[in-house]
Amino acid sequence: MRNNVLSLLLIFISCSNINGQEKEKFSQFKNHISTNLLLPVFESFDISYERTIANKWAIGLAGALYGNRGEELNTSYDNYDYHTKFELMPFARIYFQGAQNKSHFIEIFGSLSKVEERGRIIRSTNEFGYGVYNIGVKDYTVGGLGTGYGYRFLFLERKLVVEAQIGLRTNFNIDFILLNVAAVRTGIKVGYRF
Amino acid sequence: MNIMYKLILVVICFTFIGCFSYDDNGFEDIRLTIEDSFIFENTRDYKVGDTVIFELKFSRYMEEEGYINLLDLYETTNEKQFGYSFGVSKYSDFSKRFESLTIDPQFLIAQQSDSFNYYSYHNHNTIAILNEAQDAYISKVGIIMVENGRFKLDFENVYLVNGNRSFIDDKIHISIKHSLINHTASDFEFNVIE
Repeated sequence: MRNNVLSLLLIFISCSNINGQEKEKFSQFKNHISTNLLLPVFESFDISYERTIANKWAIGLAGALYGNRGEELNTSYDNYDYHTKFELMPFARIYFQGAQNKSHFIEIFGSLSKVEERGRIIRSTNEFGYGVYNIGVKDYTVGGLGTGYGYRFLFLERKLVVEAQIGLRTNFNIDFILLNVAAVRTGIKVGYRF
Repeated sequence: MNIMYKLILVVICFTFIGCFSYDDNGFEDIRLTIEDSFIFENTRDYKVGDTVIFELKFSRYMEEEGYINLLDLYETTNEKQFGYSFGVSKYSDFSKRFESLTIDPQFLIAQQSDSFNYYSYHNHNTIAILNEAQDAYISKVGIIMVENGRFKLDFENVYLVNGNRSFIDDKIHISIKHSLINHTASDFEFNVIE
């Protein structure tokens, strides 16, 4: 019996040492870059930089370039040919199990995007100085907000990041926010922490 | 947990942001106004069998709010005609007010077009046609008076449009509202006697 107790104690101490070694072994990475593997399917590309600012909090900036199939990320159909060309997304995340661990997270992000709408009515001046409307392409910048949920896995001494995320964004100039959602931060992301 | 509630609140707020944005995805009409453009030389007293004549004239080049140069209606729409409707009413001793009339086409001398079968405030649809000089749209209308009484032409709530609205067309639609500024409704009243 006494031997058994001693054995259990030794095992417990060993485990504690292992945990202690783990804590020492893994560095505290504060920077993180990643890209969404789903976006190339839609002829698009994004890159995110994230900085850990507190135990559970991180902030970052993401940029995305959208190709012609990028419109398929929109969940609704509009009369107009509405195409987001590129987008900047500052974001903030909370990691519920801590920013240095694999964890569930919730994200809130802003959006500033360059939008091109084909089929819009554009006013111009003709050679005689009169105003004339034509159907053409209208470029403008639009703001938006989004939110997302995901889970982050860590590999290779917590340097390699794999995330599964759902992130939806809407633009301010479109009515009925729920019907005009774009899944711009949805997919599987891989990244590197340093 | 407090922060979770705050996050949920923010996400819910996102949902309603779109309600405060303007409707950018509806029909895009170009809205213009003209004033006192009906010319009616009212002699006040007519006889049964007389023809009451009025004319509508407005320039091809129109002022548009927010722009310093005039808008070229013809180059914008490529339409040589604008449709509109007017009203005719007759005073009723029964109701002690003017009641709207529908005039049989045989008593109406006006140019009409099947392509202007749109909803309107008034009963009588007709068109204004680009003149030979191509600088103004003109409509001349005659009404053969076949009964006596006290009559009134109604030129309020008159909208001129370039064709019918369609979900699938790629036309530029212009709507021109006519307003009476220096005239009153009584300026268009007249009597018809046997």
